[in-house]
Amino acid sequence: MKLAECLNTADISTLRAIAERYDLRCSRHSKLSLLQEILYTFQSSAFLQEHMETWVHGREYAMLRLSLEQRRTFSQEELVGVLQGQGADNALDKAVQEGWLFPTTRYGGRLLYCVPEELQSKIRGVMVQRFSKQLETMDDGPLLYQEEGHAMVRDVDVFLEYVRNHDVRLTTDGSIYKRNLTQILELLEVPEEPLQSGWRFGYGRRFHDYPDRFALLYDYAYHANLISEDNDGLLRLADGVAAWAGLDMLDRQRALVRFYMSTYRRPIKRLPQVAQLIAHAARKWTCSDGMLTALSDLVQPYYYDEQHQVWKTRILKMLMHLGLIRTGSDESGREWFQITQLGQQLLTPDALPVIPDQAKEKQRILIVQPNFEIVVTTDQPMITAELSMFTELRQAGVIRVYRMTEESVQKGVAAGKSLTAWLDFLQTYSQTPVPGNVERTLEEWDRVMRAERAVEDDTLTS
Amino acid sequence: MTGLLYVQGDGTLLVQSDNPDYDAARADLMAFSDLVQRLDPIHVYQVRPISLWQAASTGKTARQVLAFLRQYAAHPIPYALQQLIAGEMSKWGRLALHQGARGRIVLRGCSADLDAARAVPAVRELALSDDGDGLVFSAGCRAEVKQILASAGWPVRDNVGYQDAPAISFSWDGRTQLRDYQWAAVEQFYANTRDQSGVVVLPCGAGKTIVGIAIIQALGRHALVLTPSDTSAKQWQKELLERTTLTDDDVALYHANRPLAPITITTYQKVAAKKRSGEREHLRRLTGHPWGIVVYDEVHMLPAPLFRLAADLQGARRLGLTATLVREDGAEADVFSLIGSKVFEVPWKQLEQAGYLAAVRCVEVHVPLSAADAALYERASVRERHKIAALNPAKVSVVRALLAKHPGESAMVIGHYLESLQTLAAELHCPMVSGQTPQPEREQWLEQFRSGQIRQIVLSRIANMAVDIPCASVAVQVSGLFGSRQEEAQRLGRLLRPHTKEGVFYTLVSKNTVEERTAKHRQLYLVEQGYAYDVMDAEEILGSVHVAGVQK
Repeated sequence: MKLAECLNTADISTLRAIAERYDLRCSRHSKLSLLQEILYTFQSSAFLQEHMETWVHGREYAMLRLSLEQRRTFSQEELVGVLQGQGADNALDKAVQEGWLFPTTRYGGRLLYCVPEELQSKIRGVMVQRFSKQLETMDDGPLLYQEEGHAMVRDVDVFLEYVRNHDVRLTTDGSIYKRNLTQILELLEVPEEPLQSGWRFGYGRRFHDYPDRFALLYDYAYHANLISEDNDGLLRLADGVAAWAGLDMLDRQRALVRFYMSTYRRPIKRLPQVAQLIAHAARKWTCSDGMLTALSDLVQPYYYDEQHQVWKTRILKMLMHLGLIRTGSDESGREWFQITQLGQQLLTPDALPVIPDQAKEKQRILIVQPNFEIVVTTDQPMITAELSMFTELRQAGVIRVYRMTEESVQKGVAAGKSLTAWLDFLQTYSQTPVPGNVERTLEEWDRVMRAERAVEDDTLTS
Repeated sequence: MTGLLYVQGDGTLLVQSDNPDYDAARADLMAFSDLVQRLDPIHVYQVRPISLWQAASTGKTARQVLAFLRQYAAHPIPYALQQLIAGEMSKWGRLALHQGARGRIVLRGCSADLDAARAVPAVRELALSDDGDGLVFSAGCRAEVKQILASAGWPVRDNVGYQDAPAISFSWDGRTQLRDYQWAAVEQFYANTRDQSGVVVLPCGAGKTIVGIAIIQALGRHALVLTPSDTSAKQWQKELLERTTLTDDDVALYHANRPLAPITITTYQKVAAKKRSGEREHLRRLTGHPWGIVVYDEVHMLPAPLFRLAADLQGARRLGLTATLVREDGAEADVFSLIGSKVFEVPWKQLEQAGYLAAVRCVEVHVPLSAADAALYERASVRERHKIAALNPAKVSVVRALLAKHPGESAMVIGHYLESLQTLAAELHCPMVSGQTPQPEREQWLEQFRSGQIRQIVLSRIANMAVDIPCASVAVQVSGLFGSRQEEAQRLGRLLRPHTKEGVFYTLVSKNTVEERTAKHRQLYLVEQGYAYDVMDAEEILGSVHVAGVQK
């Protein structure tokens, strides 16, 4: 909403509080004159410049977070959580008095708070500037730096070409055999080694099977229906290829960036905000460590990944693969990065994926791991009941671990549940994409069980 | 393709030659890479370790090279190439030879770099001792150490210093004024950051001899000048005597039975000559004298077997003069280690624009083979094919037509095969100068040509040598060797002496033969230097009336 709309829907006591706060000279009894006076006052950039400092003062981090949100309405609990960490208890009331936050019940009758569009973008400007001031930058940049431009898009084509011209066999888990995989990785413009070992999950459907860059590339191809993992154990091109071929270079790149954002934002909650900060703050070469310190808890550790690993490997390195930034280290080994032209083009707010429904996001409390274990982070009776139908409990406590076996799944099916519904349930409640091998094995079991049942039915009827 | 440069990870640079930025970028491009192939409109350059060392030795930094690539490349620079550029350029100056105790020399550098040198077996074999922070060699191995390490991927700077040499002081006569680029070359040669040895790369006609004399003069020590031919040796002598205060006592051509002059001039062949016993007495005598500096004129023509000579003359400063560093035998690395790194370079086109060299138009004329010759050509072996194409009789009338287009202008016809040249000379009624022409007669003809008494002359390969022919404004190349770009450089050089109006350089190429390919390779040099080739068909030159004659 614009400021005018916010003022219009606000009640007169809110307007009066704002007028008092800034000592505005107008009637305190006419909503119209209050509205006009406030609107007029807030149009002055000198006024905003002067007072925005006081809005921000003492709650810089909260304001940074709010200004980077793509949403403009926030629930009360959310705001209390964000603002109160930074001082006064009556922060919410104060913000309303200051005139940049407005209570509204317009959206579904629930009390929400709204930041007017034009104020949010102004606050963002101020916050990004302040944020940038803490950063260490340089003009020249390191001597050597990596920059990949459209390489990822070209490599999608190389991969598709390979699948078109070769019989790519899949293991029972649905992953590409090592021989083919090595060939593919060698063909790609940006070299990568196949994964050696180690436990990893969370950043995509086949993230546990393939190295970082190829995993993203493969998951995108699967997601965009460019390839299909067929039941006869072969990887084939799928119907989406024609649509992909019709896209121009920039749109392809945009599609990959969006896919990355939506895949990686599950493990990295504030990824869109971090990406925006990079887009706004890193016009010059920026010191990586300094930026991470300034980002503070916008970047959180993720299970096996330390905070700095998330930052370097999951954010900077992947943004570099996507052509959005260039990265390099200087003579003393310090790492630097800078946004590329492509990055400036693609990291604008509207190029980022639409924010998913908050309510739906909240119910994502499971993590399905490639070893068929399911980790539940919050205790929710509804969900745990459903879980127990198809799994067996392995470990109780604050974090529960369930495990799927062929037997446990058969038990669920025997109880009259459908495996397809179970898979849907996992997709809905899982924080991260359900690993490809799990998905594939469940489908396989489903097929086998159906076939067995069909045989049984046959024998019964005959 | 829209950008100027397309860069591959292995250092191949594909350049879009019709891009408007090409002219401006060419000099920078040549500073760190070599043109290797021409697939119009694409020119292919190659970045190699040695081209990077050369760039570093002239003071270029990896950052400058990378900034250039980043400015012009149509896409991000592959990381592997960035690493190659930074890695190789940083190697320059890290390993250096120094004077050691008791006349020995010591290779010094940081311990990691020394370990890299130790890892080369041939270096370990040569080393007399290893004192931890340096490898000690005998002074005689100076050239060999540099050569071995260069081929193992390590450029070595030579800070050993030079032997004491007797002084000789002289000054320029009043008329000679050095041009600014010539001064720059001299200053760069003696710059503090350098080791007073190296190669000056200047186009033919840009006054390399003057630069050489100026460098000798600035040093003021005895000098040995080595040239590729007697003609050019005499040319040096003449310049030294006419342009400076030096007298006949100071400057002399080498003669076995006369004492060495303070400035002695001789040819590569003479130095290399062996007695029946196999002994190289001239070489022994010349290396025995304490020269202050040895000048290698046209260093790209220094025959590979004569590198031995350069190796034995390491005690003196070394100056190489050349128009191109590229050698068809790939011995650039040896020139680099034995003579020195590139000191100074100005591209041809730049001097032409500054008015120091005459403007030149290059035209390639395609001459078809007659049906009979074409049939002969088809049946011939590879070796014979080149000759058939070169001797294409249809070329004669084309030459005549070309010369008719330039009445009154001084013109020379250059070729490789004497028989066809003789025919041409007879047809054109003009003298012919070849290797068989006695020296006095040769000089007489050249003098008459120089003074304008005769306007047309036919020259054989000797025209490739460093001879000063000031006023040719048309050159017709009827046949060339197997695509050596040095040859092309020399030939175009004939036209590029100042004081001529726009010159035209015609190359006759038999159509659909091996000549087309070799011509393309030869022309690389000119393309490097910023020239474009116009292509014409013989028909266009002869006019429709004569076409039938050609076809016959």
